[in-house]
Amino acid sequence: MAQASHTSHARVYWLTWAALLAVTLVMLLVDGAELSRGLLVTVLLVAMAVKAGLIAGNFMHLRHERSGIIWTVVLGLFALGVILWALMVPDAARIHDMVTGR
Amino acid sequence: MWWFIVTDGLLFAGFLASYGYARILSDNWPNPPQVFSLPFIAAMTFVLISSSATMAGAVDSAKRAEWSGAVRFVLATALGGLVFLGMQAYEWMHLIQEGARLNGNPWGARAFGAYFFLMTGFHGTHVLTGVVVLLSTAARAARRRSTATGVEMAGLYWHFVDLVWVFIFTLFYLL
Repeated sequence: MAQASHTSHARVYWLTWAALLAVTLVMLLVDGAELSRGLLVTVLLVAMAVKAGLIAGNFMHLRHERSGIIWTVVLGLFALGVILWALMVPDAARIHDMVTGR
Repeated sequence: MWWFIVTDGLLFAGFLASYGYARILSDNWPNPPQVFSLPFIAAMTFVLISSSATMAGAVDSAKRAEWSGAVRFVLATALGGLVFLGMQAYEWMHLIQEGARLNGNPWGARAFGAYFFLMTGFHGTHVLTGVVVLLSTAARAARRRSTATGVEMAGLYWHFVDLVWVFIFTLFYLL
């Protein structure tokens, strides 16, 4: 039995596990459905972010960390993603158009 | 531990960014469902997510000083990691038999093979490292020489490996 000072979080973990599997299943179903490319990419990226949040927040206990660590990890990685995206995607698209002559 | 995870995350962020760059500028990137068996990849994902859940159970047990439960959970997690590695080895052998190489492949853009083997290879190496960490954690915990913090650190690393797979699974296999 759980001691009073350390209550078990097992319920949260199994729910997280079930949610992760459910989101993965949705992603596979969406991938097989006839969606437009833009919509598909959007849905998959949102689902990916949800899964990442579930793992980091519940399994890695990021939700219960000091707020300084939470903001460093979340904002730091988000800023990195935006910077890489803004620098690289337009350039890659430019080269793509140059090569394919569009 | 979080600082290590963020810096290790930067490694994979770099890989994923350069992969995105190569993929966007390419006009003949292979269509993933034609190259990969998605049900097989889904099964690998299931194994890894489940091993993350058992690792969470191990940390939970260790915090309540239930060491025999913690050892069983850690060993189950290590087993999940080994199954994942075995499946990945099978996937690699299958693709290599079909002609996938670092410098070319039968399906399209030449860079595809390099990105595939480097990204899944680096991730697989992290899984292998994780299995070693888990087995040594289990051995220490079985002799009551581990601490709840020790198990938690091993858990953080293992969840991080699962987290990276979420990104590789979505960006490389599904998109």
